[in-house]
Amino acid sequence: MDLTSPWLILLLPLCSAVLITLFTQRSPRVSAGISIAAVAGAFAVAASHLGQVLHGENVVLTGHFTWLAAGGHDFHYGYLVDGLSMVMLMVVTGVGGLIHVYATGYMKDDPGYSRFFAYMSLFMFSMLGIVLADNLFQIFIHWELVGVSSYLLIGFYYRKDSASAAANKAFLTNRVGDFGFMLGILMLYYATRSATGGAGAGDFQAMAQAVANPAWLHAAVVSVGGGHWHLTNEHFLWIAGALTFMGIMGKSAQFPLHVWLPDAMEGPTPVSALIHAATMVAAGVFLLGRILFIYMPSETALSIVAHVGAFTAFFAATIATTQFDIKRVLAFSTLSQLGYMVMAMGLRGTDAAMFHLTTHAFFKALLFLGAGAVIHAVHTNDIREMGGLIRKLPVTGWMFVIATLALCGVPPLSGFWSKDGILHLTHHPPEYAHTWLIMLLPTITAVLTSYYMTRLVLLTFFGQPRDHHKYDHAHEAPLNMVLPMAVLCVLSVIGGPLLLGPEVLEHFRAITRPAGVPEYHYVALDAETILDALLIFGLGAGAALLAFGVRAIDPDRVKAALGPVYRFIDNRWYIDELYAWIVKNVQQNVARLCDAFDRYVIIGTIVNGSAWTTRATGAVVARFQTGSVRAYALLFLAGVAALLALNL
Amino acid sequence: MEALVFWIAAAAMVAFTLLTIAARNPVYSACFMILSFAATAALFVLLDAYLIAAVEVLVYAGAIMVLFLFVIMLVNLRESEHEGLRLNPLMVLAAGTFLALMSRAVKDLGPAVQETPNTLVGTPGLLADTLFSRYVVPFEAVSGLLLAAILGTVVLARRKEDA
Amino acid sequence: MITVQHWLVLSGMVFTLGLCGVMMRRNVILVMMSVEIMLNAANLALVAFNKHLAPVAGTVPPDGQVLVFFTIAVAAAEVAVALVIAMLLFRRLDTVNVDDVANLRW
Repeated sequence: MDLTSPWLILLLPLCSAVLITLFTQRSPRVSAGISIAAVAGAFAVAASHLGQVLHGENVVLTGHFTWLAAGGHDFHYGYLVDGLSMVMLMVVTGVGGLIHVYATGYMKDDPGYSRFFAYMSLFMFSMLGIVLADNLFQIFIHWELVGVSSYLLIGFYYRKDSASAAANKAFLTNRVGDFGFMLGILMLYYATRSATGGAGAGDFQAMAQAVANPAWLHAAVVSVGGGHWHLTNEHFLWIAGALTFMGIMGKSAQFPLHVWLPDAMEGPTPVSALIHAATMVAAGVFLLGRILFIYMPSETALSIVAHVGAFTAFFAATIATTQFDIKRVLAFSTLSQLGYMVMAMGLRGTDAAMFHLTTHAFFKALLFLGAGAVIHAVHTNDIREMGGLIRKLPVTGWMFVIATLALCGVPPLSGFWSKDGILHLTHHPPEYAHTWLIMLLPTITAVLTSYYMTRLVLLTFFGQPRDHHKYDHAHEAPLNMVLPMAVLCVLSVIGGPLLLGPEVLEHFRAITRPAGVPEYHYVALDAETILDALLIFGLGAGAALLAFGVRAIDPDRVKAALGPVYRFIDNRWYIDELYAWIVKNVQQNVARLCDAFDRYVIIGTIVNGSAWTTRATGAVVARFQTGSVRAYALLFLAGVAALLALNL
Repeated sequence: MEALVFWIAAAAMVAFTLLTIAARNPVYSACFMILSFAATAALFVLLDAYLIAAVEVLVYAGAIMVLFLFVIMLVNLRESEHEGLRLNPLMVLAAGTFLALMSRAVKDLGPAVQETPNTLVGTPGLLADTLFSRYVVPFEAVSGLLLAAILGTVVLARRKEDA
Repeated sequence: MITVQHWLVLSGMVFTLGLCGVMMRRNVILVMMSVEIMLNAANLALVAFNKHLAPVAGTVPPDGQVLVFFTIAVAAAEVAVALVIAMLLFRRLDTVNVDDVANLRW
């Protein structure tokens, strides 16, 4: 087998997961080794094709086999390596590999060490399957697999009630999204089937070609009122797009399906870093990139995507300002940044979105890993018990600061380039997005981002330690945790020029990239842009410094002044309570109705009824069995007479 | 001449059968039955079934009815326990219907009985020819059946003490 | 002229009488006697048919009579065994009333 075959990218993690599960559960070091080797191998294989994709023109690698051919439907399992998947591959395997190494330090002495790496390998397999998929059905399969891996990893500390509850919440919320996703996939397949000829079911390239054809777009699917109004493929397409977006909302935690992400912090920190910052939640953004051709013909659909993204970004940022759990702050920050990416996709900026996805993976992973190091050192997540840790964990601390600056978009770090690219899009949006939501909120959100991140840094690392006991015991993280963080730090710093420099970004395009997607507007390093970025950062950071650094403003007084507003935000806008109410009142009552129907109509009437009828009939017929010979003789006679009469 | 014999014998047969089923005392029933069989034998002779007539008297009237009489004596019912025919209207109706249907069934059965020349028909020789040629297998089977019946009777009638 | 119908109606009448005996008498021995009456009537019908289906000339194939022969033999066997059973029943239950053995009721 060709050692650079993309099949290996999928096979290595899968074999790793199987091997660890079956054979090496008792040997933690071996398990970790297998898992890391698998990721490294996948990275190597992916990297071997990097040159090809970068220097070629629209290079694509594909391969597939048919795993089910039934009734005229051919379902393929294969891979599609183009610019878009190349980016994701490098991010997933690269950042993933670094986090695997980090986890060997963080998860040391945990009794479930091998189990952890088995799950991580399973996750890698699932995620890479999403990235490499060449058709919608394969993506769906791996989509669900990723959901399972996430469930297993969030609920890793399964003995903790809150962890298993969080795992359930994540899975169920995703399921709601996947319901829409499945419907969308089916609609798309149905609509494009005839137009794609003999290609496999849901094949991206074939579908993209079919959709680009204007004749197809205006062909009618259903005609109403004798031809007065047609349901054309175009309408179909945007409904399908909206439904598919539900799946994306679930996986990438957009409002209103965001509720699972903050709770998912119950999982171990490497999990939070890998799945809930860098890769899995980015799967939705990736999918959007893959199937943007569906949304392109419809401005309504694009508008929905963009507005949902923008709102999510703002919404999450507000909540992040009130949180005291270090991981929760980062979780909401992730939500916010994901909102940016989805919004960018909605504004037809695939390049900008993918760029931000990449840089975000770098610095967000670093932030989580740093948080993990802090938690490892002081054994608490609550920043109210921290303070002054920069003196005890200098390496971690300063890397954390650099990552924060990158996140806030401070030039010349990587975040500046990607975030400002997106902000530029929002200031010059296409016509359908000329709303204050798009043009104004993202900038405000950026200010908020600077504010809450600075607040986090100040409260955690600077100032006076608030819990001396914990402070005294704090120590720097071991080397196998620090090294990966260092690599990520370097990437966070140079990520911008690295990706933009040799015009790399130009090559990171989707093969299915539709016409009409604008070229990425590379943020020019001119004074105006830099000043804008610094201004945004200054406003936010300044406010935080005043409140938490020099204590010029008392945060408690502000909290009291804001009163109900603060409570609303602090309680995550009461969305969780709303869902609980809906489940309790709406869902449970529907369930009760169904149960009553089942019990009385189905069981009562049909099941019990048939039994009763049988028994009653039997009782009637049994009356003939008197045991009296004479009666039997009479019956005999009657029978014979009847037969005679019939035949005469 | 033959018609006369027929009518007399037929009437006798029906009368005696009626008396059989209606008599109170079971011994009387048995006796009437024997007479009924005698009438039947006469009817068989009329039908040129000479061997059958003889067998009827020998086996039916001679052996079977004797058996019945033995058992009746064994049971030894007292006078008070003799009960006769209790007419049940439903059953009479059913039987009557049955008879009517049967008669209706045989109504159109073709020409009259042929008058055969006076050859000896149901003689033992002729019967034997047919019996041992075409019906030899049932013949053997029946002999086996009789053996089984004898054995069964002996086994069933044993009391526990005679082992 | 005595036609075959006469014979058959006679046979039917005797059969019906036997039937009435089976249904309306309560002594088990009497019931069995009635069954014999019915068998006898059937024999009569068989022989009548034998005569009726005979060819005009030549010997008459005695198949009907052979069947009657068998019927009588079987009837004898059956009566023997049945009477033994009736006797056993009498020994056990001290009754020959057929209504007293209604154990096989529902």
